[in-house]
Amino acid sequence: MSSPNSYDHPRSAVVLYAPPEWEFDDSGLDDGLVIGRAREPELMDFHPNVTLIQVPLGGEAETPEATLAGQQQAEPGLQSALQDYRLLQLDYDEVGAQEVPGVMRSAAHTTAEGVPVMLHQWVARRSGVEVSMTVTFPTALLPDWINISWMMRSAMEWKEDAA
Amino acid sequence: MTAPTQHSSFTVTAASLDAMIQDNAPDPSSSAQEIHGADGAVLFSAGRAAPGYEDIMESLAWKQGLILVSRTSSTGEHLRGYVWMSPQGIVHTSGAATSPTFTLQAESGGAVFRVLIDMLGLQARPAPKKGFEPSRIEERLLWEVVSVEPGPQHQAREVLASAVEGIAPDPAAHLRAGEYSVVTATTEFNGVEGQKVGKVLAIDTPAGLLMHSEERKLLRSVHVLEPTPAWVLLAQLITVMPQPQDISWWVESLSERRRAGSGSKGLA
Repeated sequence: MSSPNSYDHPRSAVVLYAPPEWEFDDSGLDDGLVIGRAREPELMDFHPNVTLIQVPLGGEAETPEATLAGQQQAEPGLQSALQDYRLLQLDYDEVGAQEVPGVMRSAAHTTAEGVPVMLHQWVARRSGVEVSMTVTFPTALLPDWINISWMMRSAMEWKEDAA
Repeated sequence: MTAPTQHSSFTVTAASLDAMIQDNAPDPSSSAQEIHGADGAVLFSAGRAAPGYEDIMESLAWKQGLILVSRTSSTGEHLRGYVWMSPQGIVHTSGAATSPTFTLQAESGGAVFRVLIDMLGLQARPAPKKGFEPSRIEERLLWEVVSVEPGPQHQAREVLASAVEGIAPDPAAHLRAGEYSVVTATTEFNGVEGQKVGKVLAIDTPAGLLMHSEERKLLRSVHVLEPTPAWVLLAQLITVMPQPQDISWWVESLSERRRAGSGSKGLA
């Protein structure tokens, strides 16, 4: 069942929930990519958004240790790709309504348009796939977005039949 | 006449920086103030900036907020940094704090979070466990734990470590071992709703931050410490910083003042 503020697809391992009035773009679904975005900009013309990426594990371990190691390996890439990148957390957390053991990342950076933003990202592995959900919002609004991103992390639903 | 190329930074001695803060310099309405670079060059005098320093001095003169960051280690190393916030952007100190000079650097307002993260030394630390009650402490311990006197410092370490070890065992062990710094950020600014001040304080250990907060009770306030991720401390700081509507108001006031052609600077 999809309500207007959720995204689901037969090929998605999770149901994603987003604030009301967000729209979803799954034109990248063949590459495992779905983007949700606020219709209206919130600050400095920046639209808060969520990116859902689903990647087949191809036999890689599903343990939280393996998930964390994978994210630590991704750090140098993020540091070179994102301007002013500052990592503020990368450690274990539970992901989704079923509290699948995974990882949370919190980091600040500056967009190409010069907007200071933060990303709150949750990554976990289950049933042969790695799912990462990344919420990006203006850093100036971090106190509000801690709660909103946390709700999105807690609402995300793992589908039992996902494979 | 072409405008001189604008410098985005200048360097002053620590004593000059203290005098600038003390005298609220640069103030274009003051004929007595002078700001000298560390090399002796006059950068501001008789209410005017030296050629090439007009923009950065104007940004400082129009400041609407100031953030002071300090980081004091158990071994007595004391680092401090300042961020002036104005409608034109920010000016912040940089450079090794142990050096006898400070470089004041102008940047766009969007740089403020990166600057504060770096000044506070915020970085990824192990995530705290969830579901705990903050530990009650006495406020004076937060100063005594960076006292230069070994006796009181060791005593404060012990008391604080005992208070938090149930909820933050690893940070407590670092406290006992003297491996920590006390970090603070104090803010003051002209907001839409008047003059605002705020403060955040935490003890930073290699195993994570212990953030201080004051819980108002009916007749008194209770001081607590709790293990906190760096992004929560940043959020706490953002709540006591100028908000987007404050900054919009500064920018509008500046352009109104410019349209009115007033020669005086500063929103008063």
